[in-house]
Amino acid sequence: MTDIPDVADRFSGAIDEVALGKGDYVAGGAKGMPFLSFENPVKRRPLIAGEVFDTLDGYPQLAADMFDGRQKDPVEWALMWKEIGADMICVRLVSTDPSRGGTPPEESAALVKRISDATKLPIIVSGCGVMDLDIPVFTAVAEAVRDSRLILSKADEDDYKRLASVAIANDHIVVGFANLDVNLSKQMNILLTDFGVDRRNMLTDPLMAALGMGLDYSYSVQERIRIAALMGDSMLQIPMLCDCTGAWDVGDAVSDEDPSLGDPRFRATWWEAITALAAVISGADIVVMRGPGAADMLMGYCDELRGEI
Amino acid sequence: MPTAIEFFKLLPKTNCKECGQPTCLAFAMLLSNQKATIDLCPHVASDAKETLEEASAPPVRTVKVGDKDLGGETVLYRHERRFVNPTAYALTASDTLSSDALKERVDYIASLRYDRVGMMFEADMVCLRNNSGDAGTFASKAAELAGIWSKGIVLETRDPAAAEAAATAIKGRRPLIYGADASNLDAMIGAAKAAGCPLGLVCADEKDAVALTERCAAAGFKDLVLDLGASNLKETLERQTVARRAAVRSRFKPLGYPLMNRVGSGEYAVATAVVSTLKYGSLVVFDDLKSYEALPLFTLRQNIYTDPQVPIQVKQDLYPIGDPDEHSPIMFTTNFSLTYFTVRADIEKSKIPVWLQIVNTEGLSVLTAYSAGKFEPERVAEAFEESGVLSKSDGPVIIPGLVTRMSGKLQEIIGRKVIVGTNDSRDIPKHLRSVTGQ
Amino acid sequence: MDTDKIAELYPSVPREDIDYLTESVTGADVAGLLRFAKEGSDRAVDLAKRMCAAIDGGTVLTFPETGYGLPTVCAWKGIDTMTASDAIAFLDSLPEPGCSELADGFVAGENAMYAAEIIESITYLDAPEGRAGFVPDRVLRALGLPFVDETIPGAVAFLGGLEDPDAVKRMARDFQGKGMVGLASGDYPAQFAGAGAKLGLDRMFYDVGCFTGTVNAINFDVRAALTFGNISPGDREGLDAYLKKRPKVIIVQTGPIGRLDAALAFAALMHHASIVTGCDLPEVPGALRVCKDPLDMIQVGIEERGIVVKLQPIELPVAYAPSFEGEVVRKPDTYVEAGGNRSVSYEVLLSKKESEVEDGKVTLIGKDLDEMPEGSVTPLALIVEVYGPTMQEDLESVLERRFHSSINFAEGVWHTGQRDNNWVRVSKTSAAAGFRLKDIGTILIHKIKEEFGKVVTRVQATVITDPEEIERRRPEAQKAYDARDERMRGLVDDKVDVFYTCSMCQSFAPEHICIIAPERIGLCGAINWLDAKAGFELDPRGPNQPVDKGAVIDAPKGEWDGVNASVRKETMGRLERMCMYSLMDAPMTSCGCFEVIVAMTVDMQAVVLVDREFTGMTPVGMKFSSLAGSIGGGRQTPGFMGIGKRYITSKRFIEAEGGIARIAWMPRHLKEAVGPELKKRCEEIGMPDLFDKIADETVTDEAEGLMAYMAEVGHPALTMDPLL
Repeated sequence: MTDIPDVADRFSGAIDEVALGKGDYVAGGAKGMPFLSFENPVKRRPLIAGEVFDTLDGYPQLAADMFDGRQKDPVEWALMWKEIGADMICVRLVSTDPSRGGTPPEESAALVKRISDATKLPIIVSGCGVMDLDIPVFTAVAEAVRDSRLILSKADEDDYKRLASVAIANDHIVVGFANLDVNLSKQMNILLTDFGVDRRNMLTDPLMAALGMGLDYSYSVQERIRIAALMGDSMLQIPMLCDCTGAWDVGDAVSDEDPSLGDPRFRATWWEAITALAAVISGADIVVMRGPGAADMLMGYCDELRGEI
Repeated sequence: MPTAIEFFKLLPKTNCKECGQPTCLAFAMLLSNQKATIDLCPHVASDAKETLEEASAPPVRTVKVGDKDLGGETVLYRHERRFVNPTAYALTASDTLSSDALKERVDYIASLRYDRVGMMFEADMVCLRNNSGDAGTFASKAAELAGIWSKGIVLETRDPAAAEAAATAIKGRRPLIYGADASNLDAMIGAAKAAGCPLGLVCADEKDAVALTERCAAAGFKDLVLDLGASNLKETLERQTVARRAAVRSRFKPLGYPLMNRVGSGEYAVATAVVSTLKYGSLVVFDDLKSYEALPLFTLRQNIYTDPQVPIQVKQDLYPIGDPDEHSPIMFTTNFSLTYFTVRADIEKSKIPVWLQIVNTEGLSVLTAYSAGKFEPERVAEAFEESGVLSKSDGPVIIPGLVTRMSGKLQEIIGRKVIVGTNDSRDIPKHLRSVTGQ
Repeated sequence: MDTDKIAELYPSVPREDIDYLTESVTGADVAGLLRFAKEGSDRAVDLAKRMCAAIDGGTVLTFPETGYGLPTVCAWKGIDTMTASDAIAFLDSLPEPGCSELADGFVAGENAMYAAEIIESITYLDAPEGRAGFVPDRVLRALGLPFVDETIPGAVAFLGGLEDPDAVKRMARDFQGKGMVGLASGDYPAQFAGAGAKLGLDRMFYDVGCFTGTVNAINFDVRAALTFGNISPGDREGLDAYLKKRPKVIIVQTGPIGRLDAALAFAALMHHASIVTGCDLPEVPGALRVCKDPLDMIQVGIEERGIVVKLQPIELPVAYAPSFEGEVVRKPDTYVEAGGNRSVSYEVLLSKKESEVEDGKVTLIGKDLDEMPEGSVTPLALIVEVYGPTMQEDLESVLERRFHSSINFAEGVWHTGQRDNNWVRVSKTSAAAGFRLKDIGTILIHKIKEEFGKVVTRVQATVITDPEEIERRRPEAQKAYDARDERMRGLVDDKVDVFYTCSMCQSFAPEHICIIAPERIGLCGAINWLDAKAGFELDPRGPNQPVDKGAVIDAPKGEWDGVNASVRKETMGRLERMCMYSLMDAPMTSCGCFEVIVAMTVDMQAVVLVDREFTGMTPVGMKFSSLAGSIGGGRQTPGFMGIGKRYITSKRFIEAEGGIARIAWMPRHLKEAVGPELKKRCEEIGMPDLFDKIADETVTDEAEGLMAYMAEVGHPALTMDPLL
């Protein structure tokens, strides 16, 4: 019988390791393509972040029903995520938008502090999406939580200096975002580095498009980033964060109009779990999840993929 | 893959056009892009033909099951080149089922079918299991199945006699016999040869697969599909990666065959299918698959097998969102699929029914299409005309904010007031609410 | 500055110290400067020790409202609390500065800085409430992150004084208009106030005091690093790295320099400030510049320190967006037009000396369109003059080419052509909306600064409609065109050492890499060697990277080892070689956006060219679309290659295979488009009749037809070796 040729890649590069929160959670470190034990001795599981909102206004009922009422208090909600086994919490501060309540920055900061203290987990902080509104919030949050390295999400090419400054001033982590483009992701990492952000304070978000919403683009962009990083492109060796919650915006995932599509609770869960599986198999080091079922499935699958079950 | 010139060198260069191409060069180009096969050329010298066949064969062999090609893959990553033949999904049916039950089962399998943006997502094959253990029953159920199921068929059995009986019974359908292993291989090869159909090997692992495929090759049989015996996600990922890399990078023939997974049912089966779809599986056989599992899985397959170098486009058409009526707003945008998906999702968020007209801009996004002259008022008006949307609704016509510039002209052509929409799709819900006064 | 005034503000400092430290030492050379800095530093340290000894040794030295004790001591030495007796020991422990080299200056500067801060803090002990000088932490924090995220582009510290109130006023308007923080010391606070410029903690304009108060500008700077940079006190390396980036501080110094100033100047340099002085001092690139015109000092400092001032959004009476680029202004809709062979019209961008360009100035010479009747044809000259420390003449044409899209982005304004055969129209609607020809100047300045702000720091525009002035300025423009043409003619592959990569298309063709040479334009036709060079200057880590050609491997094929190495690297080792001038051996890959495809003919003797616009069949049996589909995606496909149109008439066009003599067929409109140039090339290679031997679709679109035609006309390619 002919021997199978050795197909393991021996890469010269590796993904950076970034310590999160109190330093007890680390993202990145891979030395080979995801989950291939024959070339990647680092068997770190991608970290899974459970998503929590500061208001339920606009949050899908389908997802809300999965949290037993505990979603009504963001701290309880975060604790539930911890019980499920999440490694991190992603706090979305959207009520800071005046049209959604206009919560003052100090209140948002206090909330994040409470969640951080209660869960002791690393926290991803994301804003309402309007940088002018978000910056004061990020500033307040960054100053309120000093005992845990937060992940501030996210800075893009057009407006990254403000958020980067907040991160630098308080030794937090800034997420550089680029829209489905390897070169842009690299450019973003360069811009942040040039601005003075330390590599151990950076994550990259290449935009994880959900299943059926352009997942293919993301999947390939992420594979390319990972390959280039392993081949030695240091400016792409920043650990990757993929937000998979976009799955819940897909009509096919959540629609309850056509009964032949099956129970939307299960369908949405699968939708997100598959999106996340594609994310981790193409190189995600951190994934943000909305549904507890999907997160739980993903945790199991990741553990199994890295040979820990 | 050899270049067009390398193919061209071996062709007769007579430009006889019998292959259907105007020149040998054009034919060579098709060969190098795997869009044609050498047997289309009646004049190629036999030694050259062999060289060409050898050189042009994809590193993963193409194996036909029913009317569907499996394998034929050429690359490791989809950004290098489009993956060729999408993963096929099969569901099992037992040969112990009564005729009615079989019909019911087949109907269920056929019901896993979704029309999405002009594409049909569906289950591909039925896998008939020889639960009866009886060759005759297996053969007659196979024939019965063939009568009510027009697509691919897998015959799952470890019994060469049953395999041969069933496969021969539906010979014209080119079923896949699944169930050859080290113990029954020779007889199974015989059965497959007799019925002229491909054979699925149940291997213990990738090493065993090499041993088995080499035996098959020695027997002159190459229409194989390999089950690498993975029992979990890790093995699925790693074994299939090893096989694909060996085939593509090292042209390692013993593993250069389409891969398949026999999964059961339930959550774990679907997870395995997901990993297999992402990483190199050509066929997944389920014992059961629910609709809420099938739709996302089929969507994944569609996503992974799109051409990475061509922006995916949706068809120029009128897409009603949320049951619009004769007063619902009319919106339009380009046919670049990401644009379409985003706009659609944002309209859906508003919960306001809308007629969404997609205009063919050859897959370009709004601003790119506009500056390339492919998103002009005339084109939009033509699309309106074609779909008749203007007679379906007297609601406001909303133009994407980025191309406000053409609102005057459009208004002139269609003779309807045009309202300026938002620059950013995210703001659509708010805008729609204000436009409709809701 | 008046020493009486200093004495009044520093009652505990002996008069002779004040005199010694502030005595003018203007006119020194480097050695002199180092000596004065040492003298100033030693005296300040001595003075500080005496003052410490004169007060209770247990007194904690600090400033009002700060958490950093003595901020510079805290930052650089990591000491956050210091008593008067600690201070004496501390000052005693400082190294003795020499005065022979630059490093000595930095030692002197650092010592002087600590001493000055100690003197300041002691002066504060008995000072009345509200003494100007130290800027409290809360003010710094109120400035907040904008001070370090470049929303506030930087700070200007004014040292010395300036008698001319008008100049002072304009300086204030200048830096405040740029949104910068101001720190005034010496006579400046009073002079600014006198000129009507208001200082105040709420105005980002602070009075830091005089004499040793200058150190308050420094401790303001260094506290920003501690507050916003998350730098630990005493982490000298971290502090240095942070200050190198920000806050960006420039020092504008006018009037005489004293010994203390000389020493503290070195301290400022240690904080990566750039100094612009009116004194005759030796210039130090990146650190010290001499500028005699007070009104230009801030601009010089900005350039020196690399401060990027945010452009205000362009204000026009009409809309301005890329979506108007394709808009055409038709004759009946035209209010006024220029050029298009109807009137003299030209446009030119010229690089000038620093002193010749006033940033942002738009000048109109002649009438504007509101003084012209509707339907007028006017002569027009658009002259843009630029300066930038790294601007090169080679980049002039690159910048000038942006005139086209820049002007077209304005609603109802249409531009085509270039140089002295351009054509501009302004629509009636836009004229009625208030658009004026002068606005074109504003647009050009804005767009050029926006896109090329990294290489040009000053841009001024002149719009001329006065016929005499247009003629007067014309020779200068003509000279520039001629010089550029000459340069382009001389710009050949053999004369340059570097080519450039272009990886812009890798987002959709990840496997492709373009190599751009002077004689081979990028296959998209949009990026030539100069553009790529400019691209690299503008963004040194961007998609255009220089490729060291290296040693030649095969000259006719255009193969160099440096190019091969770069191709290997950029394709992750997938491609080993690339020959710049060959179609058959390791040709350049294609991304998909090529203008023209070169394809070998079926008889292997010649090539056909087909461009994107041609939708018909070609004699190779494939249309453009199917050829394109087969050669894109970054693969090397010998026999087929995507190119930019201009490469057709390059001397290096498939040189390895015999050049243009191989061309047997191309679509008629393409042949017409490249006609004049191609005819010229035919003559150059001694085949004047070649042009007519090239067939087009009206002759044939079939392989046999082409072979017959080639035989009939005696095409030179038939006598060459087969391509295979």
